[in-house]
Amino acid sequence: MNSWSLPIVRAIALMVAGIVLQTTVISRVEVFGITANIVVVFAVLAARWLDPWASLLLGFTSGMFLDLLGATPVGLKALVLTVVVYGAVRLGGSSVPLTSVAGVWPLSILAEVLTFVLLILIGDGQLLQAEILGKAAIGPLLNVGLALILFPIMSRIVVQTRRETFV
Amino acid sequence: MARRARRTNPTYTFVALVLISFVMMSFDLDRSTEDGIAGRFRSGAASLFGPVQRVVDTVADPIFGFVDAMASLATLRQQNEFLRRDNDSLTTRLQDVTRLEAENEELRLLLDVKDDLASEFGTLVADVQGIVDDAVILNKGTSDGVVVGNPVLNGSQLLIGRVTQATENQSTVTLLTRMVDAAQVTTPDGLVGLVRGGGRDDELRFEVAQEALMIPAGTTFTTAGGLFPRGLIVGSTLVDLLPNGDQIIGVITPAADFSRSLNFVIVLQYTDALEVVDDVPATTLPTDTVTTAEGG
Repeated sequence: MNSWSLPIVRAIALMVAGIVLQTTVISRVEVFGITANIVVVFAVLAARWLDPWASLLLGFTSGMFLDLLGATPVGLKALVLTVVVYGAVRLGGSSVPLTSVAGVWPLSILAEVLTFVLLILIGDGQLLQAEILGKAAIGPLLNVGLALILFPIMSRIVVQTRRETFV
Repeated sequence: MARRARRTNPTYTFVALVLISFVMMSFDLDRSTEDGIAGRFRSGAASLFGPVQRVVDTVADPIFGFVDAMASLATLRQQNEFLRRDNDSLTTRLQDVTRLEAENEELRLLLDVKDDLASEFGTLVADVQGIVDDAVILNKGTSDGVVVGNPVLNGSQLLIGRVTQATENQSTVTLLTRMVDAAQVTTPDGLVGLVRGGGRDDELRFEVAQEALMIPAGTTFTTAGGLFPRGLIVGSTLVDLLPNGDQIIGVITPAADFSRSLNFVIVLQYTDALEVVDDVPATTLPTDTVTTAEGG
């Protein structure tokens, strides 16, 4: 297996676990009626260690599976996660560390706003949707909390794998 | 070089994926059909993730159930406390309503009784202010027309006693079951005897000195003049009263329920209370209990 493929496989495994957790466990843990989105957190953090195109594919695929398992039109969350990951890899850098725990917050807001706009465009949302404020305010904070937990785990799994392959 | 640059530049991948997303969205805008491409993809994803999700659910469900139960424990306790208070309040209210219903019924009876008796005697309706040493205190006295010796009936027109003390604004009624005076009573067959208090709420002592075979169970005794006007129901026997020599001595169960609290009574303005009981030979009665007016 190539030096870059093992981290990708492990990242995919983590993402699959994230999708399962999101659809079974995380979606049942509500704070003021809002749930965290572990898949967004995974996608943002994975972009820190994976190649940009691999991160984009991972974000797109995981979003696609969320669409397929949920009630949103297929492609909506795929598009959102693709944009989020692209924003993380293109706009982030050493001065703006978007692919970090701190970066999860603005990127989660971007995901919520983009989802809202897309739902409006396809006629599934309402302009006066009250929960968008809650989602945009509380959801990203919950994601940051999740990122604090997941960051060390992901760094151990993905980065250590990279070191092993280099050796 | 250009191909390599294209490969490393994520923008190309990004644009391609965005286009794919839009195409997929346009295919799946009508989510009502499950036969389309998106529907098949959804079925495939459900088949792929379904078993894993079920396993995770199996593990997570008890945990979430436990956490929910713990979280709602405080709420349930609070609700339980509220319900207890409501229950107590409603129970109290129910007791009040029951008491008021009984009082209402009693008042209705009083109104009827008053009309019946008013044609024969003057009547007064008096409130019961209290009960002291088995004596009932009424809020009517001599200024209202109450005199010592007036018979007193409950709301059901059943004899309960007689006035033994009267002040200007208050009077005291000695209950039938506590009376030491003998009241003259008669059976439907015309057998005349005397009753007096038995010392208990559910007991009157009956004595007759006339020669009689027996008094069957269920016989009703009514007043026969003397202390009380004729025709007031006093009580009945629950068992056959058999003669002992030339006397019949037994127990009569009073018609009035003395265990029930009284709210109102009817005072009969019967003025012949001092009439001497002369139908029964005085020798048949204990000399220390036969008086014509209690306490007087």
